[in-house]
Amino acid sequence: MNLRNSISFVVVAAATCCAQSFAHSPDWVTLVDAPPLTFSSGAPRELKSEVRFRIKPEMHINSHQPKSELLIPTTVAFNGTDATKLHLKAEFPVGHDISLPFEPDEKLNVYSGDFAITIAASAKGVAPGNYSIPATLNYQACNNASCFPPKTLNFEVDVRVTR
Amino acid sequence: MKRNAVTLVLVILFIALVVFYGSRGARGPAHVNGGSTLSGNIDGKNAPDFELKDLDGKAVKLTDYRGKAVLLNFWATWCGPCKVEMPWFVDLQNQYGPQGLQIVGVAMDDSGIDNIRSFSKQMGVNYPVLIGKEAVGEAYGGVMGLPTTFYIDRLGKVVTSNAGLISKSEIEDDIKKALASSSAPAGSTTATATSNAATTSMVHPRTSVTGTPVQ
Repeated sequence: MNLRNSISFVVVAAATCCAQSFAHSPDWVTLVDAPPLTFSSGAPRELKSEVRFRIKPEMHINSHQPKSELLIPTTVAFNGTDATKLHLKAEFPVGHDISLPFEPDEKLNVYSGDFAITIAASAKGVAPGNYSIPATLNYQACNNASCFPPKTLNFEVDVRVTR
Repeated sequence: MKRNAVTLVLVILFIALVVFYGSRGARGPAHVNGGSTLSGNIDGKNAPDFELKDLDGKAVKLTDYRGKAVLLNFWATWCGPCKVEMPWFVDLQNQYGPQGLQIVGVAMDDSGIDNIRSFSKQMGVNYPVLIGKEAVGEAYGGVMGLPTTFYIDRLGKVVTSNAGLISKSEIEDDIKKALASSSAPAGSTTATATSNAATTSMVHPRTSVTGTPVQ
């Protein structure tokens, strides 16, 4: 395959992927950055990393502590035994209160724009190595007029233990 | 060189087709941006029939309401805009019920029947609430955002539909359209259902007025 054919293939593949993502329900939140946690010699017992997310414009998601028990809170789940070994836990930011035009007297506690969830890990007793922990952000998004079914965003928390 | 030019043209055509059909798929039949009216593939067509359980566990079909204008509202307990509409629906059911309106709520959340029942009671809902299933949402063109509401005339045809919260007066206007859309009086269920089934095909291949409703 020559260079031109390769470029054609890449362009076609990219367009196909793009079109397929159009056909599914939208992701209202995207991952911006998930910096790795590196336990090297002399590092503290517990390290924290801020995983940053971006919510689409004009959308909001419920915070981790929405004001009503009927609302679906934003949560993070870690999967696999390595997550337990590394004592992974998520610390959520405080949301901000908003009132929507259709219900000006009722306050909602939400995230909008960019927000960061702090992931804490402890490497005590963990063998040196690179760990990639599958994680999910669970959220439910709304705009001023509509709410959308709960969604899950998969991401990974990378932990490096070198000592 | 000539072969490369042909390849390039084919690639461009392919990308154009992929993007075109991809964007069609994304829009689907229902626009979900706030307050917009569904331009829908199913407006003017027969509303897909379904069979769902109500809060008492009783099976309810859409065709049970044939002869009435139906406001079919997809909602969920976690949906703030849906909660705003519900007191309006209670008022509108009281106001237009005697003229042949039947509001029907379809709860699309997984919070369990007890939560849905409790929420409905708390909101003073005076119309049937059914436990929704994804297949029913799909039959209605893929209900992506909530609330989504379909206005169905006495003959079972979708008059109009709407995704997102709109004002009470706009809802009322759409109810009037559904009530006025056909002149069959309430109570003539058998006659209208028969004529409807004989003349019109359904929007969704899995649905039929005369066949098996979506369950």
